[in-house]
Amino acid sequence: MAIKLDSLEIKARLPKLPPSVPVHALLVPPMEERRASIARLGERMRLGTLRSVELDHGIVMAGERGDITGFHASGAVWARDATVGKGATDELRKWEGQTTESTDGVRRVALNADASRKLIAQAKELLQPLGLLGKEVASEAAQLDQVAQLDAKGKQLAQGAGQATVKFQYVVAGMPVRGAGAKTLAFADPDGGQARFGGIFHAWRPLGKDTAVKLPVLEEALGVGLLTDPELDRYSAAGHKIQITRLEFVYLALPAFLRQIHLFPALQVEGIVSEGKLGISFHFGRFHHAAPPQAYAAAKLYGPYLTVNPDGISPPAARPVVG
Amino acid sequence: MVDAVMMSSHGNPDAFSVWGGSVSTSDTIRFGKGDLEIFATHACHLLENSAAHPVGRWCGAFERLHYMCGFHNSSYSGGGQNARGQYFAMYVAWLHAVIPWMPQYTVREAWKMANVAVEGSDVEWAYLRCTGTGADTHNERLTTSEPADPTTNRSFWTAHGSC
Repeated sequence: MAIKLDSLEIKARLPKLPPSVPVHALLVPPMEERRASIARLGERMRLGTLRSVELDHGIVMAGERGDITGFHASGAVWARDATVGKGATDELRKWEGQTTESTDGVRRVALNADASRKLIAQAKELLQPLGLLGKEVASEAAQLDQVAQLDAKGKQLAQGAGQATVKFQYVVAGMPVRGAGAKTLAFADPDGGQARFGGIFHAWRPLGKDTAVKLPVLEEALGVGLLTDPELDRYSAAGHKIQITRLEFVYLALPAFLRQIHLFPALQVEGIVSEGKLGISFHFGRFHHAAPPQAYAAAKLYGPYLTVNPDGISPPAARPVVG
Repeated sequence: MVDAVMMSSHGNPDAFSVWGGSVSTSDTIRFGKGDLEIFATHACHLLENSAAHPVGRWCGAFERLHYMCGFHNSSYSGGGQNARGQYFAMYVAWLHAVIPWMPQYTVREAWKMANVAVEGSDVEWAYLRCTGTGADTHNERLTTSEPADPTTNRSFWTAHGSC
Protein backbone atom coordinates (compact mmCIF):
# COMPACT_ATOMS: atom_id res chain seq x y z
CA MET A 1 0.00 0.00 0.00
CA ALA A 2 1.21 3.52 -0.69
CA ILE A 3 0.34 6.80 1.02
CA LYS A 4 -2.36 8.70 -0.86
CA LEU A 5 -1.21 12.14 -1.93
CA ASP A 6 -4.46 13.74 -0.80
CA SER A 7 -4.00 12.29 2.69
CA LEU A 8 -0.90 14.46 3.22
CA GLU A 9 -1.37 17.90 4.69
CA ILE A 10 1.08 19.88 2.56
CA LYS A 11 2.07 23.16 4.19
CA ALA A 12 5.09 23.79 1.96
CA ARG A 13 5.21 25.43 -1.44
CA LEU A 14 5.25 22.72 -4.10
CA PRO A 15 8.33 22.71 -6.32
CA LYS A 16 8.05 22.79 -10.11
CA LEU A 17 9.86 19.93 -11.79
CA PRO A 18 11.38 20.43 -15.25
CA PRO A 19 10.74 17.70 -17.87
CA SER A 20 14.37 16.64 -17.64
CA VAL A 21 17.41 17.44 -15.52
CA PRO A 22 21.16 17.16 -16.16
CA VAL A 23 22.72 14.43 -14.04
CA HIS A 24 26.39 15.26 -13.61
CA ALA A 25 29.24 12.82 -13.29
CA LEU A 26 31.18 13.35 -10.05
CA LEU A 27 34.94 13.02 -10.12
CA VAL A 28 37.39 11.87 -7.48
CA PRO A 29 40.67 13.80 -7.77
CA PRO A 30 43.66 11.43 -8.02
CA MET A 31 45.34 10.68 -4.69
CA GLU A 32 48.66 12.13 -5.88
CA GLU A 33 46.99 15.45 -6.63
CA ARG A 34 45.28 15.42 -3.26
CA ARG A 35 48.48 14.54 -1.37
CA ALA A 36 50.05 17.80 -2.55
CA SER A 37 47.15 19.96 -1.36
CA ILE A 38 46.93 18.00 1.90
CA ALA A 39 50.64 18.62 2.53
CA ARG A 40 50.20 22.35 1.81
CA LEU A 41 47.15 22.47 4.09
CA GLY A 42 49.20 20.88 6.90
CA GLU A 43 51.86 23.57 6.39
CA ARG A 44 49.31 26.43 6.29
CA MET A 45 47.69 25.17 9.50
CA ARG A 46 51.13 24.58 11.07
CA LEU A 47 50.25 21.05 12.10
CA GLY A 48 53.90 19.98 12.31
CA THR A 49 55.10 16.49 11.48
CA LEU A 50 52.27 14.17 10.45
CA ARG A 51 52.42 10.37 10.19
CA SER A 52 50.10 8.60 7.75
CA VAL A 53 47.80 5.67 8.47
CA GLU A 54 45.64 3.99 5.80
CA LEU A 55 42.15 3.25 7.10
CA ASP A 56 39.04 1.94 5.34
CA HIS A 57 37.44 5.36 4.95
CA GLY A 58 40.56 7.33 4.13
CA ILE A 59 44.15 8.18 4.74
CA VAL A 60 44.67 9.86 8.10
CA MET A 61 47.76 11.98 8.68
CA ALA A 62 48.11 12.77 12.35
CA GLY A 63 50.54 14.48 14.65
CA GLU A 64 50.55 16.01 18.12
CA ARG A 65 48.96 19.26 16.91
CA GLY A 66 46.21 17.85 14.73
CA ASP A 67 45.27 15.68 11.81
CA ILE A 68 44.14 15.62 8.19
CA THR A 69 41.91 12.96 6.61
CA GLY A 70 41.69 12.43 2.86
CA PHE A 71 38.51 10.44 2.14
CA HIS A 72 39.04 7.61 -0.37
CA ALA A 73 35.48 7.57 -1.73
CA SER A 74 35.17 11.23 -2.61
CA GLY A 75 38.51 13.01 -2.32
CA ALA A 76 37.05 15.12 0.52
CA VAL A 77 39.43 16.62 3.05
CA TRP A 78 38.95 17.11 6.79
CA ALA A 79 41.68 18.94 8.71
CA ARG A 80 41.88 19.83 12.39
CA ASP A 81 44.19 21.99 14.44
CA ALA A 82 43.67 20.44 17.88
CA THR A 83 45.46 23.32 19.61
CA VAL A 84 42.73 25.85 18.74
CA GLY A 85 40.49 26.62 21.72
CA LYS A 86 42.54 24.28 23.93
CA GLY A 87 42.80 26.75 26.82
CA ALA A 88 39.07 27.57 26.89
CA THR A 89 37.20 26.49 30.01
CA ASP A 90 33.76 26.59 28.39
CA GLU A 91 32.04 27.04 25.03
CA LEU A 92 31.52 30.83 25.15
CA ARG A 93 33.58 32.95 22.75
CA LYS A 94 33.69 36.73 22.45
CA TRP A 95 33.67 37.88 18.82
CA GLU A 96 34.33 41.39 17.57
CA GLY A 97 31.20 42.54 15.75
CA GLN A 98 28.98 40.16 17.71
CA THR A 99 25.33 41.14 17.66
CA THR A 100 21.92 39.67 18.39
CA GLU A 101 19.38 39.20 15.63
CA SER A 102 15.79 38.11 15.76
CA THR A 103 14.09 36.19 12.96
CA ASP A 104 10.49 34.96 13.34
CA GLY A 105 10.73 35.58 17.08
CA VAL A 106 13.89 33.46 17.43
CA ARG A 107 16.88 35.31 18.94
CA ARG A 108 20.34 34.30 17.80
CA VAL A 109 23.79 35.68 18.30
CA ALA A 110 25.43 36.54 15.00
CA LEU A 111 28.28 38.52 13.48
CA ASN A 112 27.45 41.90 11.97
CA ALA A 113 27.88 42.33 8.23
CA ASP A 114 31.41 43.73 8.47
CA ALA A 115 32.68 41.01 10.83
CA SER A 116 31.03 38.30 8.68
CA ARG A 117 32.66 39.69 5.55
CA LYS A 118 36.10 39.73 7.20
CA LEU A 119 35.75 36.16 8.50
CA ILE A 120 34.56 34.84 5.12
CA ALA A 121 37.44 36.63 3.38
CA GLN A 122 39.93 35.08 5.83
CA ALA A 123 38.47 31.61 5.19
CA LYS A 124 38.72 32.11 1.41
CA GLU A 125 42.32 33.24 1.77
CA LEU A 126 43.06 29.89 3.39
CA LEU A 127 40.94 27.65 1.14
CA GLN A 128 41.26 29.07 -2.38
CA PRO A 129 45.04 28.73 -2.90
CA LEU A 130 44.75 25.09 -1.79
CA GLY A 131 41.99 24.32 -4.31
CA LEU A 132 39.56 23.64 -1.47
CA LEU A 133 36.62 25.61 -2.85
CA GLY A 134 34.51 24.30 -5.71
CA LYS A 135 33.78 26.68 -8.59
CA GLU A 136 30.03 26.05 -8.13
CA VAL A 137 29.97 27.90 -4.76
CA ALA A 138 26.79 29.99 -4.76
CA SER A 139 26.50 31.26 -1.22
CA GLU A 140 28.73 32.00 1.72
CA ALA A 141 27.83 32.76 5.32
CA ALA A 142 29.38 32.96 8.76
CA GLN A 143 27.28 31.41 11.50
CA LEU A 144 28.00 31.31 15.24
CA ASP A 145 27.32 28.35 17.50
CA GLN A 146 24.56 29.25 19.98
CA VAL A 147 25.71 28.66 23.54
CA ALA A 148 23.87 28.94 26.86
CA GLN A 149 24.67 28.23 30.49
CA LEU A 150 21.86 26.93 32.73
CA ASP A 151 21.59 26.54 36.49
CA ALA A 152 21.02 23.20 38.24
CA LYS A 153 17.28 23.44 37.62
CA GLY A 154 17.65 24.32 33.94
CA LYS A 155 17.03 28.07 34.13
CA GLN A 156 19.14 30.02 31.65
CA LEU A 157 21.94 32.04 33.28
CA ALA A 158 23.84 33.29 30.23
CA GLN A 159 23.60 33.15 26.47
CA GLY A 160 26.26 33.88 23.89
CA ALA A 161 28.34 32.84 20.93
CA GLY A 162 30.58 29.86 20.48
CA GLN A 163 32.80 28.82 17.61
CA ALA A 164 32.05 30.26 14.16
CA THR A 165 31.37 28.20 11.05
CA VAL A 166 32.03 29.70 7.65
CA LYS A 167 29.75 27.84 5.23
CA PHE A 168 30.13 27.67 1.47
CA GLN A 169 27.16 26.09 -0.28
CA TYR A 170 26.70 24.95 -3.84
CA VAL A 171 24.26 25.36 -6.74
CA VAL A 172 24.39 23.40 -10.02
CA ALA A 173 22.30 24.26 -13.10
CA GLY A 174 20.28 26.67 -10.98
CA MET A 175 19.35 23.98 -8.45
CA PRO A 176 20.57 23.93 -4.84
CA VAL A 177 22.76 20.98 -3.89
CA ARG A 178 21.97 19.56 -0.46
CA GLY A 179 23.27 16.77 1.71
CA ALA A 180 26.51 16.12 3.54
CA GLY A 181 28.63 16.30 0.38
CA ALA A 182 27.35 19.72 -0.65
CA LYS A 183 29.55 21.96 1.45
CA THR A 184 32.89 23.43 2.32
CA LEU A 185 33.21 24.53 5.95
CA ALA A 186 35.80 26.34 8.03
CA PHE A 187 35.50 26.33 11.83
CA ALA A 188 37.03 29.30 13.64
CA ASP A 189 37.77 30.65 17.11
CA PRO A 190 38.36 34.36 17.77
CA ASP A 191 42.02 35.29 18.14
CA GLY A 192 42.47 38.99 18.79
CA GLY A 193 41.01 40.91 15.86
CA GLN A 194 41.43 37.92 13.54
CA ALA A 195 40.14 34.37 13.62
CA ARG A 196 42.06 31.13 14.00
CA PHE A 197 40.81 28.16 12.03
CA GLY A 198 40.58 24.94 14.01
CA GLY A 199 38.92 22.87 11.32
CA ILE A 200 38.39 22.65 7.56
CA PHE A 201 35.97 20.29 5.84
CA HIS A 202 35.84 20.32 2.05
CA ALA A 203 33.33 17.71 0.92
CA TRP A 204 32.48 19.00 -2.56
CA ARG A 205 33.21 16.65 -5.47
CA PRO A 206 34.24 18.20 -8.82
CA LEU A 207 31.72 17.81 -11.67
CA GLY A 208 32.23 15.92 -14.91
CA LYS A 209 30.02 15.69 -18.00
CA ASP A 210 26.28 15.65 -17.67
CA THR A 211 23.53 13.41 -19.06
CA ALA A 212 19.88 14.42 -19.37
CA VAL A 213 17.48 12.30 -17.31
CA LYS A 214 13.73 12.56 -17.84
CA LEU A 215 11.65 13.49 -14.83
CA PRO A 216 8.07 12.53 -14.13
CA VAL A 217 5.48 15.13 -13.10
CA LEU A 218 5.57 16.07 -9.40
CA GLU A 219 2.75 13.72 -8.36
CA GLU A 220 4.63 10.77 -9.90
CA ALA A 221 7.98 11.97 -8.52
CA LEU A 222 6.50 11.91 -5.02
CA GLY A 223 5.48 8.31 -5.70
CA VAL A 224 9.10 7.28 -6.39
CA GLY A 225 10.06 7.64 -2.72
CA LEU A 226 7.98 9.77 -0.41
CA LEU A 227 4.59 8.12 -0.97
CA THR A 228 6.14 4.65 -0.79
CA ASP A 229 8.29 5.42 2.26
CA PRO A 230 7.60 2.23 4.28
CA GLU A 231 7.77 3.90 7.67
CA LEU A 232 5.55 6.87 6.83
CA ASP A 233 3.20 4.44 5.08
CA ARG A 234 2.89 2.43 8.32
CA TYR A 235 2.00 5.56 10.30
CA SER A 236 -0.44 6.75 7.63
CA ALA A 237 -2.16 3.34 7.52
CA ALA A 238 -2.52 3.47 11.33
CA GLY A 239 -4.37 6.79 11.04
CA HIS A 240 -1.58 9.25 11.92
CA LYS A 241 -1.76 12.54 10.03
CA ILE A 242 1.35 13.49 8.07
CA GLN A 243 2.08 17.15 7.60
CA ILE A 244 4.70 18.19 5.04
CA THR A 245 6.44 21.41 6.10
CA ARG A 246 9.26 21.46 3.54
CA LEU A 247 9.36 20.05 0.03
CA GLU A 248 12.23 21.13 -2.22
CA PHE A 249 13.58 19.86 -5.50
CA VAL A 250 17.36 19.64 -5.12
CA TYR A 251 20.46 17.73 -6.12
CA LEU A 252 21.68 15.35 -3.43
CA ALA A 253 25.39 15.05 -2.60
CA LEU A 254 26.09 12.05 -0.38
CA PRO A 255 28.52 12.03 2.58
CA ALA A 256 32.25 12.13 1.89
CA PHE A 257 32.77 8.51 2.93
CA LEU A 258 30.36 7.18 0.26
CA ARG A 259 31.20 6.55 -3.37
CA GLN A 260 28.98 8.69 -5.58
CA ILE A 261 29.63 9.14 -9.27
CA HIS A 262 26.34 10.84 -10.25
CA LEU A 263 24.89 14.02 -8.78
CA PHE A 264 21.22 13.09 -8.90
CA PRO A 265 17.95 14.97 -8.31
CA ALA A 266 16.05 14.41 -5.09
CA LEU A 267 13.21 15.73 -3.01
CA GLN A 268 14.19 17.20 0.35
CA VAL A 269 11.29 16.72 2.70
CA GLU A 270 10.55 17.72 6.28
CA GLY A 271 7.36 17.07 8.16
CA ILE A 272 5.52 16.14 11.30
CA VAL A 273 3.66 12.90 12.04
CA SER A 274 0.80 13.40 14.50
CA GLU A 275 0.40 11.47 17.75
CA GLY A 276 -1.73 8.37 17.35
CA LYS A 277 -2.06 4.63 17.69
CA LEU A 278 1.62 3.94 17.02
CA GLY A 279 2.98 6.56 19.41
CA ILE A 280 4.07 10.15 19.94
CA SER A 281 4.06 12.96 17.42
CA PHE A 282 7.45 13.36 15.76
CA HIS A 283 9.34 15.48 13.28
CA PHE A 284 11.18 13.93 10.35
CA GLY A 285 13.62 14.90 7.61
CA ARG A 286 14.04 12.76 4.49
CA PHE A 287 15.75 12.67 1.14
CA HIS A 288 13.90 10.71 -1.52
CA HIS A 289 14.55 10.13 -5.20
CA ALA A 290 12.72 12.37 -7.68
CA ALA A 291 13.37 10.12 -10.70
CA PRO A 292 12.65 6.38 -10.85
CA PRO A 293 15.43 3.83 -11.56
CA GLN A 294 13.93 3.32 -15.05
CA ALA A 295 14.70 6.95 -15.93
CA TYR A 296 18.38 6.45 -15.07
CA ALA A 297 18.49 3.14 -16.95
CA ALA A 298 16.99 4.86 -20.02
CA ALA A 299 19.85 7.37 -19.82
CA LYS A 300 22.33 4.47 -19.35
CA LEU A 301 23.24 5.62 -15.85
CA TYR A 302 23.61 2.98 -13.17
CA GLY A 303 24.59 2.96 -9.50
CA PRO A 304 23.28 1.39 -6.31
CA TYR A 305 22.11 4.77 -4.96
CA LEU A 306 20.18 5.34 -8.23
CA THR A 307 18.25 2.09 -7.79
CA VAL A 308 17.25 2.36 -4.13
CA ASN A 309 17.27 5.08 -1.50
CA PRO A 310 20.86 5.55 -0.21
CA ASP A 311 19.75 4.59 3.31
CA GLY A 312 17.51 1.77 2.10
CA ILE A 313 14.26 3.65 2.80
CA SER A 314 12.38 1.90 0.00
CA PRO A 315 9.43 -0.47 -0.06
CA PRO A 316 10.58 -4.13 0.30
CA ALA A 317 9.68 -4.84 -3.35
CA ALA A 318 12.18 -2.17 -4.51
CA ARG A 319 15.10 -3.53 -2.50
CA PRO A 320 17.53 -5.92 -4.19
CA VAL A 321 17.04 -9.54 -3.11
CA VAL A 322 20.08 -11.76 -2.68
CA GLY A 323 19.94 -15.55 -2.58
CA MET B 1 27.56 -1.37 32.80
CA VAL B 2 27.03 0.83 29.78
CA ASP B 3 28.89 4.15 29.55
CA ALA B 4 27.56 5.44 26.23
CA VAL B 5 24.37 4.80 24.26
CA MET B 6 23.55 5.90 20.74
CA MET B 7 19.96 5.28 19.70
CA SER B 8 17.92 5.86 16.58
CA SER B 9 14.33 6.77 17.15
CA HIS B 10 11.91 9.59 16.50
CA GLY B 11 11.22 12.58 18.68
CA ASN B 12 9.88 16.03 19.31
CA PRO B 13 11.10 18.72 21.73
CA ASP B 14 9.52 16.97 24.73
CA ALA B 15 9.76 13.23 24.03
CA PHE B 16 11.46 10.44 22.13
CA SER B 17 10.08 7.07 21.15
CA VAL B 18 11.31 3.76 22.53
CA TRP B 19 10.12 0.19 22.00
CA GLY B 20 6.54 0.01 23.21
CA GLY B 21 6.14 3.69 24.05
CA SER B 22 7.99 6.90 24.64
CA VAL B 23 10.02 8.82 27.20
CA SER B 24 8.99 12.40 27.89
CA THR B 25 10.00 15.32 30.07
CA SER B 26 6.97 14.64 32.26
CA ASP B 27 8.30 11.14 33.10
CA THR B 28 10.69 10.52 35.99
CA ILE B 29 13.93 9.92 34.14
CA ARG B 30 17.18 9.13 35.92
CA PHE B 31 19.82 8.90 33.20
CA GLY B 32 23.08 7.78 34.76
CA LYS B 33 21.45 6.00 37.69
CA GLY B 34 23.60 3.03 36.64
CA ASP B 35 26.75 4.10 34.83
CA LEU B 36 25.53 5.95 31.74
CA GLU B 37 27.57 9.02 30.90
CA ILE B 38 26.62 9.72 27.28
CA PHE B 39 23.15 9.47 25.75
CA ALA B 40 23.09 10.26 22.02
CA THR B 41 20.09 10.12 19.75
CA HIS B 42 19.15 11.25 16.27
CA ALA B 43 15.59 12.08 17.39
CA CYS B 44 14.57 15.37 15.73
CA HIS B 45 14.19 18.59 17.77
CA LEU B 46 14.87 16.78 21.07
CA LEU B 47 17.36 19.44 22.19
CA GLU B 48 15.67 22.41 20.54
CA ASN B 49 16.55 25.51 22.54
CA SER B 50 14.08 28.28 21.76
CA ALA B 51 11.71 30.61 23.57
CA ALA B 52 8.91 28.09 23.01
CA HIS B 53 11.05 25.12 24.03
CA PRO B 54 13.87 26.03 26.45
CA VAL B 55 16.27 23.10 26.60
CA GLY B 56 16.36 23.23 30.42
CA ARG B 57 13.30 20.96 30.27
CA TRP B 58 15.73 17.99 30.03
CA CYS B 59 17.98 18.93 33.00
CA GLY B 60 15.82 16.94 35.41
CA ALA B 61 16.66 13.76 33.48
CA PHE B 62 20.35 13.98 34.47
CA GLU B 63 20.89 11.77 37.51
CA ARG B 64 24.61 11.27 36.89
CA LEU B 65 24.57 11.65 33.12
CA HIS B 66 27.28 13.84 31.60
CA TYR B 67 26.10 14.44 28.03
CA MET B 68 22.83 14.34 26.12
CA CYS B 69 23.57 14.63 22.38
CA GLY B 70 20.87 15.30 19.80
CA PHE B 71 19.50 17.97 17.46
CA HIS B 72 18.12 21.50 17.63
CA ASN B 73 16.00 20.95 14.50
CA SER B 74 15.22 18.02 12.18
CA SER B 75 17.90 15.45 11.42
CA TYR B 76 17.62 13.46 8.18
CA SER B 77 17.46 9.94 6.82
CA GLY B 78 17.69 8.84 3.23
CA GLY B 79 20.82 10.75 2.27
CA GLY B 80 23.54 8.53 3.73
CA GLN B 81 22.88 9.23 7.41
CA ASN B 82 22.86 5.54 8.42
CA ALA B 83 26.54 5.77 9.39
CA ARG B 84 26.00 8.51 12.02
CA GLY B 85 26.60 6.21 15.02
CA GLN B 86 29.63 4.59 13.39
CA TYR B 87 31.25 7.99 12.80
CA PHE B 88 30.40 9.16 16.33
CA ALA B 89 32.11 6.06 17.74
CA MET B 90 35.04 6.63 15.39
CA TYR B 91 35.61 10.24 16.39
CA VAL B 92 34.90 9.83 20.10
CA ALA B 93 37.15 6.79 20.66
CA TRP B 94 38.17 4.50 17.79
CA LEU B 95 40.49 6.82 15.84
CA HIS B 96 42.53 7.64 18.92
CA ALA B 97 42.64 3.94 19.86
CA VAL B 98 44.13 2.92 16.49
CA ILE B 99 46.27 6.07 16.11
CA PRO B 100 47.43 6.71 19.69
CA TRP B 101 49.48 9.79 18.73
CA MET B 102 46.40 11.48 17.28
CA PRO B 103 44.85 14.02 19.70
CA GLN B 104 41.60 12.54 20.95
CA TYR B 105 38.35 14.37 20.17
CA THR B 106 36.22 15.51 23.09
CA VAL B 107 32.67 14.13 23.33
CA ARG B 108 31.17 17.42 22.09
CA GLU B 109 33.63 17.66 19.17
CA ALA B 110 32.97 14.04 18.19
CA TRP B 111 29.18 14.55 18.13
CA LYS B 112 29.57 17.68 16.02
CA MET B 113 32.02 16.01 13.61
CA ALA B 114 29.90 12.87 13.15
CA ASN B 115 26.94 15.03 12.19
CA VAL B 116 28.98 17.34 9.97
CA ALA B 117 30.05 14.12 8.19
CA VAL B 118 26.50 12.83 7.55
CA GLU B 119 24.15 15.84 7.46
CA GLY B 120 23.63 18.82 5.20
CA SER B 121 24.57 22.20 6.62
CA ASP B 122 21.00 23.33 7.36
CA VAL B 123 20.75 20.70 10.11
CA GLU B 124 21.88 21.80 13.59
CA TRP B 125 23.61 19.37 15.96
CA ALA B 126 23.04 20.09 19.67
CA TYR B 127 24.11 18.86 23.07
CA LEU B 128 23.32 19.48 26.72
CA ARG B 129 26.03 18.72 29.25
CA CYS B 130 26.09 18.69 33.02
CA THR B 131 29.16 19.85 34.89
CA GLY B 132 29.94 19.98 38.60
CA THR B 133 32.62 20.18 41.26
CA GLY B 134 35.38 17.68 40.47
CA ALA B 135 33.65 16.66 37.22
CA ASP B 136 34.32 19.29 34.56
CA THR B 137 32.80 17.82 31.39
CA HIS B 138 33.84 20.60 28.97
CA ASN B 139 36.81 18.65 27.62
CA GLU B 140 35.54 15.18 28.55
CA ARG B 141 36.81 12.33 26.41
CA LEU B 142 35.65 8.73 26.27
CA THR B 143 38.44 6.79 27.97
CA THR B 144 38.95 3.40 29.58
CA SER B 145 39.01 4.93 33.07
CA GLU B 146 35.79 5.75 34.88
CA PRO B 147 35.20 9.54 35.04
CA ALA B 148 33.87 11.40 38.09
CA ASP B 149 30.17 12.19 37.78
CA PRO B 150 28.78 15.74 38.08
CA THR B 151 26.64 15.44 41.20
CA THR B 152 27.49 18.49 43.33
CA ASN B 153 27.32 22.22 42.51
CA ARG B 154 25.84 21.32 39.17
CA SER B 155 25.25 23.59 36.22
CA PHE B 156 24.52 22.88 32.56
CA TRP B 157 25.88 24.05 29.23
CA THR B 158 24.16 23.71 25.90
CA ALA B 159 25.25 24.49 22.36
CA HIS B 160 23.87 24.06 18.88
CA GLY B 161 25.36 24.85 15.52
CA SER B 162 25.48 24.14 11.83
CA CYS B 163 26.33 20.74 10.39
